[in-house]
Formats: sequence, C-alpha cells, structure tokens
Amino acid sequence: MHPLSWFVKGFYKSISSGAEPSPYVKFTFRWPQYRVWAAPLDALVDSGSPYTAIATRDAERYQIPFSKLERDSKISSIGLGGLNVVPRLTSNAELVFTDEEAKRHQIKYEPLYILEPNFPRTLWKERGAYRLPNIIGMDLLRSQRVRVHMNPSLSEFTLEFPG
Amino acid sequence: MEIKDFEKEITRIESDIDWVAKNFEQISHEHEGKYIAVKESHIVAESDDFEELLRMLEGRGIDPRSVHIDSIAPRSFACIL
Repeated sequence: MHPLSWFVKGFYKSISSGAEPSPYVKFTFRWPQYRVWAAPLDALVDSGSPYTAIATRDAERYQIPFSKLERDSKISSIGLGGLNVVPRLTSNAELVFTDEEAKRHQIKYEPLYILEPNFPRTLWKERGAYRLPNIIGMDLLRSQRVRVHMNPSLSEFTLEFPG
Repeated sequence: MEIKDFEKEITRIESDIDWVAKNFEQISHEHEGKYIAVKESHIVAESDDFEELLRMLEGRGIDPRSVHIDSIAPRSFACIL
C-alpha cells in the first residue's frame, strides 16, 4: 500500500435476480458538453471487459444523443451480455470517485464509451438492452494503475488508486 | 443549481445506490423483472418497461435524473458479461 494512495470502497450487487453478487463501485459521470452536470451512477468492475462504458439505460436517462456521438474507427461493435452494441466516443467527460475520506477525485479518461445497441430501437426492451450495467473495465484499471482488493466471501471490495 | 446543491444531490443519490445494493435480495424478491426508481430509500415508481418508467416519472413531475434507477433483471436474464 502506498502512503499517498486513495481508496474507493465498492460493494456487491447481483446483475440479475438470484445471481451471485458482482463487484460494483459508485462514481459520478460528468459530461458538460451534453449537459450532464453530475450523474451519480454505479458500475460493474469487470476484469473481463477491456473497455469502460456508460450503459444504454443511463445514456438514455441523461438524454445523450447517440447519433451525435462519433464511432470509434478501431472498434465497430462490442459483444456484451449476448447483445451487440456500438461503442460511441465521449470526449472531455469525467468520472468522479469519492474516496473513503469523502474526498472527490476527478478522472478524465478516454476512451470512455457510450453503448448504443446495434439493432433497431423497437427491440431494445425485448432484448434487455436497458438491463446492461455501466462498466469499469481493464483499460481504466490499468491506465490509472488501480489495485483491486477483493474478498467476495466477506463482501469486501476496494479500489486503490495511487496518489 | 449551485455546487453545494449538486453535492447534496450526489450524496442523496449515492445513498439510494447503497440502499438498493444492501436490500437487493428483498427487492429482487418483490420486484423481479422491473426497473425501479428510488428516492430517499423508497421505490417511487416501477415498471417492466424502462421507457414507460421514464414516462411515469415525468408524468409525476419527477426528473428521471434526480432519482436512482436500477434494473432488477429477472432470473431468465442471467448472463456473463
């Protein structure tokens, strides 16, 4: 443990009813360009995901216009939970984490994706597109040099950010 | 909205995120398959249709951005992400 590290306490929650709980953290998403001044959200911390993304449900709720966002020329689509989504790019968006001492830390991270289902909107409900969670992926964990401390059997989960 | 009001709002919604996580088992027992809107540790609206939930909130004068909205996915939604 580094003396200047700051810690974000996570929690466990099931992705679906009856499922084993998965690790989550809270954060606040800020994207003033699209009038998202402060959106307190939770995200699945997914070491199986190479990408960090804001889910369709929250993008829709905060009225982020998918069609105005650029596609990533390197990634045409992503498979997520059996669905195919288009990763749309944000720019100058921020993730704000609150540490265990209630201090807020802003991280400008790119690429941060907004997930748009890659099928007609009329099928979003039926296929469960709004069920997908926000995701903190390996890209963010690696670039921010985050250490993950977890003990699922004791419901312990903490992210350690270097100072 | 001033910064201190934002702070208060963020803290309140974060408490509701914690409340859902802490009570997920009971909530999923009672609201399986729904999308829920939570404010001050109470479920203020629910629907099995997310877009319908947004319309319900707006109809009651509640800004969907001012509450925590969560998915209580049904068992049949079990997936590996």
